Amino acid sequence: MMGDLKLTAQQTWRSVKAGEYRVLLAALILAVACATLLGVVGERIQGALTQETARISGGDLVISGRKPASSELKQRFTQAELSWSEKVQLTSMASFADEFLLVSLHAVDEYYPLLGEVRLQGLDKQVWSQAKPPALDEIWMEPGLALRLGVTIGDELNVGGVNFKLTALLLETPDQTGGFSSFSPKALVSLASLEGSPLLGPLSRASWRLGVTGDASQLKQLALTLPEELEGHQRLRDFEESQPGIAKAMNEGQRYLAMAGLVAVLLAALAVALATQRQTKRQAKEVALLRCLGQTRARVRKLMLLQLFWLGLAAGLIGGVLGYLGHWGLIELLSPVLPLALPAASLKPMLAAFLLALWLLLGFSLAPLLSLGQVSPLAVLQARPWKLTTSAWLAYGLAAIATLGLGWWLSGDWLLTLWTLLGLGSIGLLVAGIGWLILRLVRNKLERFPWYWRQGLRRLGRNSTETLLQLSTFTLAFTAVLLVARGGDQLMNDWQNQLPDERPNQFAIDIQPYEKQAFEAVLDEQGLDHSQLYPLLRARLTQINEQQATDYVPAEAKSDNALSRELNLTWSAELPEGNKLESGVWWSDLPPAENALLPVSVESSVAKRLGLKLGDQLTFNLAGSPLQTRIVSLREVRWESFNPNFYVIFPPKVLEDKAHTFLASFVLPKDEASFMRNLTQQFPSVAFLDVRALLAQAEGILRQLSLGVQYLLGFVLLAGLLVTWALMMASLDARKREQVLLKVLGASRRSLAKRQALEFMLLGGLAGVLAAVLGELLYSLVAGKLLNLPWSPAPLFWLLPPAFGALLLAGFAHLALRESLETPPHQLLKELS
Amino acid sequence: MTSNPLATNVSESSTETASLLQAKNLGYSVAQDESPLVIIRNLNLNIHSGEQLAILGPSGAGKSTLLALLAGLDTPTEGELLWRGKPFSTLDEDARAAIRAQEVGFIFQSFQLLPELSALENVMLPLELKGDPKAKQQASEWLAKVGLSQRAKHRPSQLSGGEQQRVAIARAFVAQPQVLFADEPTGNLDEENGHKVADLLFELKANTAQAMTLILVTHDRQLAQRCQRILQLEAGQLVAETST
Repeated sequence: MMGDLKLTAQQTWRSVKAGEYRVLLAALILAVACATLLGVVGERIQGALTQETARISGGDLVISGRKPASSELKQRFTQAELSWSEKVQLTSMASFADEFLLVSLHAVDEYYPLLGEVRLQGLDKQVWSQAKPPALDEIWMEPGLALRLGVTIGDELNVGGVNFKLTALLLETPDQTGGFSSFSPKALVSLASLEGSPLLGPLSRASWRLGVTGDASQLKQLALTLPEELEGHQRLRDFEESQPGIAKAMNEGQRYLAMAGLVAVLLAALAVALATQRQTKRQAKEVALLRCLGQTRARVRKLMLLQLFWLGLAAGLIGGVLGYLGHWGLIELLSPVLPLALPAASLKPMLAAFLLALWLLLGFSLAPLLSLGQVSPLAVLQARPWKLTTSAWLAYGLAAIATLGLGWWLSGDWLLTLWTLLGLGSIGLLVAGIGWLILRLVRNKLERFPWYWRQGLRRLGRNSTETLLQLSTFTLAFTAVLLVARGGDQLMNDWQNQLPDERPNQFAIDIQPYEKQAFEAVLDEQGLDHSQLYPLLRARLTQINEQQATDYVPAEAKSDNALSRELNLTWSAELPEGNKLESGVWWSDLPPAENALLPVSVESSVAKRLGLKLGDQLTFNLAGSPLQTRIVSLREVRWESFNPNFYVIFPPKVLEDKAHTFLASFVLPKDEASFMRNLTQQFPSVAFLDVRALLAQAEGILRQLSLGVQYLLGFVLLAGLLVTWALMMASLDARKREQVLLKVLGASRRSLAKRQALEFMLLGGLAGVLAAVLGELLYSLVAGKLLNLPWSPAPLFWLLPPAFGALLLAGFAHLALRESLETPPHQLLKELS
Repeated sequence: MTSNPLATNVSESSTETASLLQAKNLGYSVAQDESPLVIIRNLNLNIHSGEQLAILGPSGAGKSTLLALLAGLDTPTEGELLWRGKPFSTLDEDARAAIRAQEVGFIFQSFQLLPELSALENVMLPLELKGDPKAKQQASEWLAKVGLSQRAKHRPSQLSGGEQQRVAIARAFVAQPQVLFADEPTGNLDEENGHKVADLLFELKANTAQAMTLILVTHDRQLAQRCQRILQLEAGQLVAETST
């Protein structure tokens, strides 16, 4: 065995040196490099995103409840060597001199912040970050709040009956939960400061959160078992609920990264399959010679398998190292926007890459390799090439298993894998059918074309199986690249639209009805972009279909925020921007008979959580009076728009006599700090919520994903080019032979070059046209079903592929066959003999 | 020079005890649409150790098929073949391959060098397959014997036809086979190169220590006449045997 290992290692090395395995090795290395890069980057970015998510949420696991978590639970976390921190959030009145304002008070324990740091500003505008909570009886508050209350650093103020000293302005907290839903400016104090205060008394409407972080496997285990151990008022919160906009973008991005990576590796795998076929044909001669030299079938197979093993090992190692190095490129690219140090990469993806190389080689080469056993030693005595017959079932079966396994391994998503493979497979078949039709149509009209065209078309028609295979493969590769490019483009556009340059970064809350016109006028005079002024009422959802709301909803929703605190309601005649009707009808289309109960429109994700459907009756407690309503529509809300959004919308007029304020969002340019000061002075009762820090966080994550998309697209393109090259090489020997013959018969280099260019331009152009059409069709399916992206026309993606395909194939053909065009025929014949 | 005009059983009288290869009523046919195509029919033959035998005949006479049958590259459809007195054609492929590995060398009309290997590596191949640790040294020596030391690192495509065949001869001799089968060894070469290669082949054969048997298939009468015995094959049948 050791002897054979050494012998095959030598043989493989000699063949590699001679350029024999060039295409196969390149394809394998690319597949492995892509998979390694995906694996390492995926692991590290996922780790970073999880950290970031955890930071924003206040922990890897967050338990929310109406009361503090039990000491037993905390002790359990401590024993499991997990870190935890608890905080309480409540709304209270802050007063200073004659000013009174509602604040969102966050009281934190001594372990705060669990992850990340708090950014503060001192007296002399000095900014610093620290990972420590405020000291006893100290308070930090957002600058807008301090401005409205008229307090400056060093002043003493009262919040909920407790006196605090303002020691710093709160610029940013790592945990940003509730940024939009609370609509109240934030202040941070230590939990110990509130001890004994009625704020935390039995009647308190405080919301408690216990964030936990630590070893990932421990946390994973906890996430499975914890829900059963929680008390009735407690539940585990997920990121999607607290940050729906960012969560959606992250989900889309990760699915896209998975798809792009999958396509890149699948394309590289296709190149491996093509290169293997060519390799097998070329190896038939070697096998026949080995058999002549007295080697048994079994030994020949063993030697061939061992050669594959060495190839796999080499590709696994080189690809693994390249992928690993490549991942540093991506990390370097992302470093300016990565808020945290990335977790270290493990060697697991490298090991996986090695296995992947062997998996690919075996999946695509085993059947052709076994067929090599059929080669009779007689083949060396016979001038004709030995025709290998491989069991189609075995070959396709193994390839299908290899591809499916590969897809699942990479994406971990059967649905995604099946959709991608089915899409690509159907395209292959469809294209072959269309190509066959075109060849038939052209065949009888050849005489109408000039000589070069006739020759080119004849060449394509004569080897129709080869032509159709090439056309399908080229189209498939182009389509896959287009699909990824199109998806990436759409995804980035979509994100860009979510975060336009001029996006609202300030919320104005508590605008009194009498101030509405004046406020709007000031914004307009200043020329600031702003949303409409939405009326805002607060009400608690008490009953659903005449049952207590907490009894009606599913067990996991019993402590949902939508039930545990007052909801922000509004009314609007039109469906607000960024909202889409998912089911039901808007007021204008509502039949008069259905107006018996007050109609309301409910946001679809909260409806799903609470188990609500069209026609359900909701009873709200609005300033002590019950308000009976019926759901007439469910709305999908684009939370990522950063515009004011509401869970429940009423029709106009019905609530106008109830006490309400107005809410608006507007874009404050960077250098407009003085305008804010004036606005605060002009409208002292209006609260301003600065969401720039939150937006920057969201933007950072989206930018990370966008860069990842572009980087991966580069790999997909490379894989597409490799497939094209592999296919070109697969037909190289036959084409060279044909060129020799034509040269011998007197064809000039120029005419051969023209004929060759034309043939490949036709093939590439047709593949490009078909790829543009089919890619668009497939994209419209994939975009909606898998990536949740809207479809919009993209003419560039329709026009570029035919031109690109024609030029690319003609260029590749020129490169591949240039040498043979220049070489004298007799020398070429000798090489090919 | 004696000539026997009898078409068949020309070697029946030879002693069977000293024979290396013996064919008894050998026949080979391939299935066709209606009736089978007979390539070799009812052929009897004795080949002795150390002998130089030429099988001469026009194209399509079945020379290469006969060589393939004698070398165990294919199995006869009729008759029997004995190797050192033991049944050969009834052995399974692996057993025949094992005999080839130990005792047989080949020279082909189209050289059959592996294009990705250098001249030296091509010559090393049979020894490497046997796990011979001195493969490189021996291959270098044989390459020197065929006058190609300077071309050791060149690939087949960088060599002329004559040079390629010299590499193939070195590859055939390096494993010191008992029997050397040569299928039209000069068939792809011009006259001058053909003579040179033939000279080399017989010179090396003469200088080998052990009694190597040479079985040469050719349509070149001049080349055939350099062998001790010539068998004339026509339409799959031996039509004459000549001793030189």
